[in-house]
Amino acid sequence: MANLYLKQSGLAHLHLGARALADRNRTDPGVLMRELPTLEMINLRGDPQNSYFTAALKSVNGIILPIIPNTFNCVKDHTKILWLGPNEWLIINSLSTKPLFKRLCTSMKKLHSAVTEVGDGKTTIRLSGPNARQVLSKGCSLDLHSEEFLPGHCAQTILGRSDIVVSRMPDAANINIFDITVARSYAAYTWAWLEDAAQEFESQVIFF
Amino acid sequence: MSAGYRLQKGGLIDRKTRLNFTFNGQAMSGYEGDTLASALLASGTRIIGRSFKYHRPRGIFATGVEEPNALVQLERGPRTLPNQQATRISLYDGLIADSINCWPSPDYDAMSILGLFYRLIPAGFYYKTFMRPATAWRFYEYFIRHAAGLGCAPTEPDPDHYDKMNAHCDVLIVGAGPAGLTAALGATRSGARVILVDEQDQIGGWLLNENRIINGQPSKEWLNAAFLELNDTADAQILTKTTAFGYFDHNFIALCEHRGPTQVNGNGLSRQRIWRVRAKQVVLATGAIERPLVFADNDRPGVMLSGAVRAYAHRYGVAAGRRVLIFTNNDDAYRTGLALKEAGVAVPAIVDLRHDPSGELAVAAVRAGIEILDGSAVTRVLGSRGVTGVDIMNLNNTGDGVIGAPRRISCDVIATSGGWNPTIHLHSHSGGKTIFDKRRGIFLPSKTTEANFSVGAANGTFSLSDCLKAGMKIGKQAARNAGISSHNRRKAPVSIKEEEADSRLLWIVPTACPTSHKSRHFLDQANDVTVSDIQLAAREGYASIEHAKRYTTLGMAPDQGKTGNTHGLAVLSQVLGTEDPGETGTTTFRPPYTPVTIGALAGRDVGPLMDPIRMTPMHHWHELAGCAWEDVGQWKRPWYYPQNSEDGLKAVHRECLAVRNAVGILDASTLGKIDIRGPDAVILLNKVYTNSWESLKINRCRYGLMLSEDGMIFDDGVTTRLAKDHFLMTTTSGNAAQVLEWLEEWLQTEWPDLRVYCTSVTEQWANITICGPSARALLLEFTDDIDLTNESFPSMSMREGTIAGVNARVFRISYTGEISYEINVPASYGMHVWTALINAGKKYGITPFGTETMHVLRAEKGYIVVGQETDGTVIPSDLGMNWAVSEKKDFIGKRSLSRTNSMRTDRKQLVGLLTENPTTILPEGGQITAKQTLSTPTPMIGYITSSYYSAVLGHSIALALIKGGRELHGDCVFVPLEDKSIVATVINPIFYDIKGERLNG
Repeated sequence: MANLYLKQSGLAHLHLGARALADRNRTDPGVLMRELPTLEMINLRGDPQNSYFTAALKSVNGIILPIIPNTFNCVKDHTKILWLGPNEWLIINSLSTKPLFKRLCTSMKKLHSAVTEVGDGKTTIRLSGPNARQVLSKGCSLDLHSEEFLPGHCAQTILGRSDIVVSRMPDAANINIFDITVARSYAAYTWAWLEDAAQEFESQVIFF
Repeated sequence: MSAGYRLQKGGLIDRKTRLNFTFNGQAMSGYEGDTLASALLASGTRIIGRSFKYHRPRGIFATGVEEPNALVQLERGPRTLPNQQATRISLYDGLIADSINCWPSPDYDAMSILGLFYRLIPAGFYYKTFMRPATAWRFYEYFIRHAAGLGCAPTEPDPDHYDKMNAHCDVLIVGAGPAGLTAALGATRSGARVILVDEQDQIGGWLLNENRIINGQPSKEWLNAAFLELNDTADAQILTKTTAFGYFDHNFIALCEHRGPTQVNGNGLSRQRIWRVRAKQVVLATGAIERPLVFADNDRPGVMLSGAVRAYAHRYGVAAGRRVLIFTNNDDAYRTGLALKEAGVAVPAIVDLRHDPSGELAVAAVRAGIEILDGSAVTRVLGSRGVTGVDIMNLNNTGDGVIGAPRRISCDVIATSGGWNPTIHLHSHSGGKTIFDKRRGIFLPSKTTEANFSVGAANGTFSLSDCLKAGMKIGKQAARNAGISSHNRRKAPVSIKEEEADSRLLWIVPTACPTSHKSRHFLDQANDVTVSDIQLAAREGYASIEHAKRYTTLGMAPDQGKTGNTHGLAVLSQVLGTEDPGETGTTTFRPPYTPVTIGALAGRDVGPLMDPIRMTPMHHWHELAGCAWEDVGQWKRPWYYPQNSEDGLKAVHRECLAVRNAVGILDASTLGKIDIRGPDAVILLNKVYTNSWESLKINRCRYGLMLSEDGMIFDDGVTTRLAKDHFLMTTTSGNAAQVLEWLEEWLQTEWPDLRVYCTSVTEQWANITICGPSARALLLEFTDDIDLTNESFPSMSMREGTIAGVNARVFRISYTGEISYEINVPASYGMHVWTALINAGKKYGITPFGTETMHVLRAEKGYIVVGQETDGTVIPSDLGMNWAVSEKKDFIGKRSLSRTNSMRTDRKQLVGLLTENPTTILPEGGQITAKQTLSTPTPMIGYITSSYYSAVLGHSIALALIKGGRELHGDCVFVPLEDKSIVATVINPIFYDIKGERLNG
């Protein structure tokens, strides 16, 4: 019995797999929505001026911190490091077979830093499609114009009434892709808000 | 009904598409491109409604947002909208509109009898008449409200969808008339991101109402070309049917877009959309609004603005009447005369206040055979239910009286023009100043406070050719100011310039008798404010325009006095003897420019999206279990879990006894959790908490009180030392974000040298608390790597290990007085661990319990709740918690604890209360007195902070804050209620297991 409940993402109760199955024959959706569940996420604090700190990071999978505010770096395709503040970053690792947390803790051991697991407390919603930007603009007051908010840009902001971290991924076939990372307790609200805002453009739920 | 007023040709209407609509139950029709007003005019409907106060018949006066009279109730049922200007409603098939403020019909209105008593009901009459007895005002008000008024608000929920959109641009241009359009072209050609908004359903502004030549081609063709150019530019967005209704700080402008005609059938398309635009530069090309001449009985159906009459002819192919008399003080109205003449409508005369008008247009009028009566005025309007004719007299030399004998001319429309007022509303919203142009009698925008420009008619530039030139120049300038370095050399389009002579300013057109007698000069037709009302206000001492406005209600109707305000303040200046209306000044321009529906402002913040519901990882288990919810901030927490038909009280009894006698399980995931790390973590804790932290051993927990600078308790919680330089702080559920902000604020502003990092982990961990005598036995089944014996895992300590196969931190912290384990597991595993404990716990009688039970249990132990026993005025000693306050170190709020006021012995102190009757539950918030009396006033010595029925004690219990309460143990106090006073005995605030043996199991 217990296995059914093992590791649930913040949107597990929506049964998005079944929703995706029901939506699979939609044609020309304006917005595609999916959850990227149970990613490893690490909140990192430290002094980027400290070369020991940056070197220690580099020794773990070659992580390089973004120093330009509101941008993110990628390590290969699976690890994103998002700038959250002058001494704060969010590392999102989608490679579940190679968790980073323990390795980071070990490499940071003697440095004044904070490596904190936060992935269970958040989830990520990926929004794409020709109308994705309009949907976000309904509830986010940042300038998301495709020449202003570029691939590689991210921001801590508000969507509707919830705090989010939004990051723009590289376009795929000229279609904008936005990842919205939201606190677990707000995930259901944020999903409902997005679905509501996407209604006029025909949205489609996809799953893996 | 007349055979119709539609002209044979002309207009921007599609005569092939006929649209049917219903007005006051009568079937009518119009064409695609009509407004409700133009369709009604075409059908010959003269009386649209009755006026606000005197119930005088009123007809269509204007053609746009300035319309004061033609207000209708649009549609019926849940989608109904009151007080809609017929001039702003684009006609659609099936439209239903009804007159407002009249019964049984606008043609025969029962309340029109009020008009006979107008001398008795001037401005402010109800302040003077219905004064006594004071209590009767409500009675009078009922009738006044019913006699005067407008449309009806919908009574059913609005079925439509409204939403919002955020947008950014380099240049926002408000108004797509000639100046706005050329500004948009200028800015886009320079490469700026442009948003062009206009309230009409197409671009063109006032040009839509004219037949002019631009760049050698008809203006309509030029408009089409401009539209195509903008439409093809990716970064130029045109929003029509969109009103910029408010201009706020930092170039933040709010727009309201009307998207669906009236109803949108589901699928998430909004009926209206609020745009929140942030623009680097704003160009206000808002145009101008014509003002009438103020003459006797100038509110009769058939009296219209001259520009509106021209607009109906040119744009909608509608003749406003069969014989249209023009009454003007300027050259522009001659265009109306010429246009009508050309369309075949009779123009019996142009009455001009000026002597010997000799401009190009006057010459053209003479050439067209129109009689011009110069130096003359309309002194009387014939026909109470619609103009049938006028009396015209010569003006005296000063213009304040008339001479000679009247000449009567028959006509059915008076097209009047008193000049054009620049639309400076948005400029003023933004904090811009205005200056009064004495020669033209208009207010012009002057100093701006935001990055904006006023251009075109909004800036007092009335000629078409000048507007085109100025728009182009400003558009390029705005792009440059927005940081666009490239510039274009394209020239502005050109138009022939028509020279216009000066107008003659006569704020009140004289009649044969004084203004207050017999006839009325209306300033504000929407609110029935006359010249004599303003004069009365001035006589009664309302010397400020702001006061006079509120006394007379001038400009306070849905149209906000767009046609009458300038006259109103000019009349006030005249009475006050200040010749310059600029000195009197305008009333404050406030958003919204035109009314905005509440639905649009709410947007999608309605229903389930009104406020987020924060869900714990076990939320859906609780939901299935049928719990009652308690709102804690945005969190939903189970309050209690009623079984079968239990009521709340019974459920809480059962849950309380289960915890005391067996084992209960609580979802405490909402507890705030902050990970604090760094070599100076102890120093930080010492500064923010009242007690000291050096001595806390690794894996041990300690309770702490947090004070604000004023010494008042602000938060409490248990903090655990995870390592030498690593702590986990917990906060109250509602305060988690504030506490983290508090720590960050101090760290970033006052103590940047401290080497500490704080990270919120509230959401990361599910907190599953099991407590009660069987808690240990239950937990034993789930772990093989944590020694649960008292010796190795005592109270107030933490162990890391595996619970149900999941890595967990288990805290032995009790808020109930029972042996208690707070099991923290990563949130993703919360549901798994919770259900595993529930399933295995059945044999121990495991009982899920909610916040109400938690509160009863903690009150039995005398544990406080921040926010319940404290209210921002409570210091630690008030609660008898000086044991948690260190004398040896400094901390935030310490100094405040030694203030005289903090040292008083008669401060309110925490006590317990027991009632005589064990089943009497004192009301929380109940006031406490020292004497048993129901007479008032009686000094209050305290109040009840928490009150419950304790199932385990079989007695009600209460906590209270009472002045000098610790000295009163054993005394009786009283809680006076409406009909009785309850006696209670003051005791020490611990009711159960006073020695605290149970939590050590």
